[in-house]
Amino acid sequence: RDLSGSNLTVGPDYADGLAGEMFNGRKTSIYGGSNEIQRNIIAKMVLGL
Amino acid sequence: MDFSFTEEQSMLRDTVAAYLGDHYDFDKRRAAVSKEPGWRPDVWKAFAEELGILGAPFSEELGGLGGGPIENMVVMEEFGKALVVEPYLGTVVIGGGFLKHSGHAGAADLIGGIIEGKTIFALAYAEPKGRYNLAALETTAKKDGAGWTLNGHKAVVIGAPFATHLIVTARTSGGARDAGGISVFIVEKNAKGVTTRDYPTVDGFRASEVYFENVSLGADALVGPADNGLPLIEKVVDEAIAATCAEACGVLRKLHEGTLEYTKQRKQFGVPISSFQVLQHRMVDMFINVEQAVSMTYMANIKVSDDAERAKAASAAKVQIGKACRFVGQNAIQLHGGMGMTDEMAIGHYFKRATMIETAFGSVDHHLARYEFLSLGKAA
Repeated sequence: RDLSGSNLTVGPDYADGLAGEMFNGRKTSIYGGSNEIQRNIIAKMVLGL
Repeated sequence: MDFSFTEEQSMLRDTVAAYLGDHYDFDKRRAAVSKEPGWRPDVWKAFAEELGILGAPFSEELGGLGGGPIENMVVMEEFGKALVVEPYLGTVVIGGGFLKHSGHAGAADLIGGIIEGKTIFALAYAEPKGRYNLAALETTAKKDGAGWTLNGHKAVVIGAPFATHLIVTARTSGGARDAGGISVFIVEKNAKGVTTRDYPTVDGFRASEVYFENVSLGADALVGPADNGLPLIEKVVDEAIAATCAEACGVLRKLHEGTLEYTKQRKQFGVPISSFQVLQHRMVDMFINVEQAVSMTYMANIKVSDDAERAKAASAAKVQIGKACRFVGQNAIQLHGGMGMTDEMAIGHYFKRATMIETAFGSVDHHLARYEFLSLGKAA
């Protein structure tokens, strides 16, 4: 029995899939250039540092 | 104040750490939680027979090691480091706590069962609309002759799939959120009318939705005073909070150490990323969070046996631990970059456990409000 994935849910309907979205959303500050890199770019290109 | 551990406490830590090192490495843990039954009864048996730790906080007369909250703290921190899912918190800390503090007639026998590894408890207290309020109860126990009839739905009962017995908080009188009118019962999980829906939680643990339909409880099922069980519940939950804070310290240490280790060997732009000042400062901030969490955990476990200090100490500690779990956990993944999002690396598993601990027994906001209420004596 595959216990991975989001096919086992509990709680109110509006909460369905929210935990998965929350954990998957963790990547948004990393991919496409991490927040730290973005700050480097802003420091260099915008603030001239 | 002397914060050094006794020789026995250090030996307890070393024994548990050595056993877990041999039997509970990350790969073994990952394999065990990803299939049925989701835990390892042979590990529980070893805790009982080889290590004797299931008796840690029970008196020697009852067959225990004669320890208390500090022994629980030591064990739970090591469990946090190894991401142990076996039900020590539910059984030894919580089940044991209710039995020790209530004067329940069957306590000695049930504690004997705990120490032997045969009796396993899970605390069924939270309900779908409860919002961390221990008194928000729609599960009812109606007086029926010398006993009661239990009806209701308990949500996210951690460890229920492994339990032989459930500790159930129920309303015996009063309105849905009244502090009075609450009683505590021990219910055998295989009793007629008890059904469970088991599922894994995001951190590799297991929980159940538990439904009670006209479950018959005898007079001996009651734990503590009838209609006035909330003080007992609060006391044991504060002990559970103090023990959970200790588990969090183990998880937080691994999150921080794992991040240090990773950034030292991960190269980008030709150098280890640990040489970047931004990341160094971030790891210092993580370290400060870990140290403060450890200090608050010591404080909570030192004060948890004093009924005058216990509630504020537990809530204060839970605020710090909740904040630390969020900051250290989220930043651990951030500093691991894309690798932090993988299932193969241990760091994500520690992060998911920290995320669950963050709101266990109440969120940061809940405990700030409770601390304010306890300090000022009026509703927040």
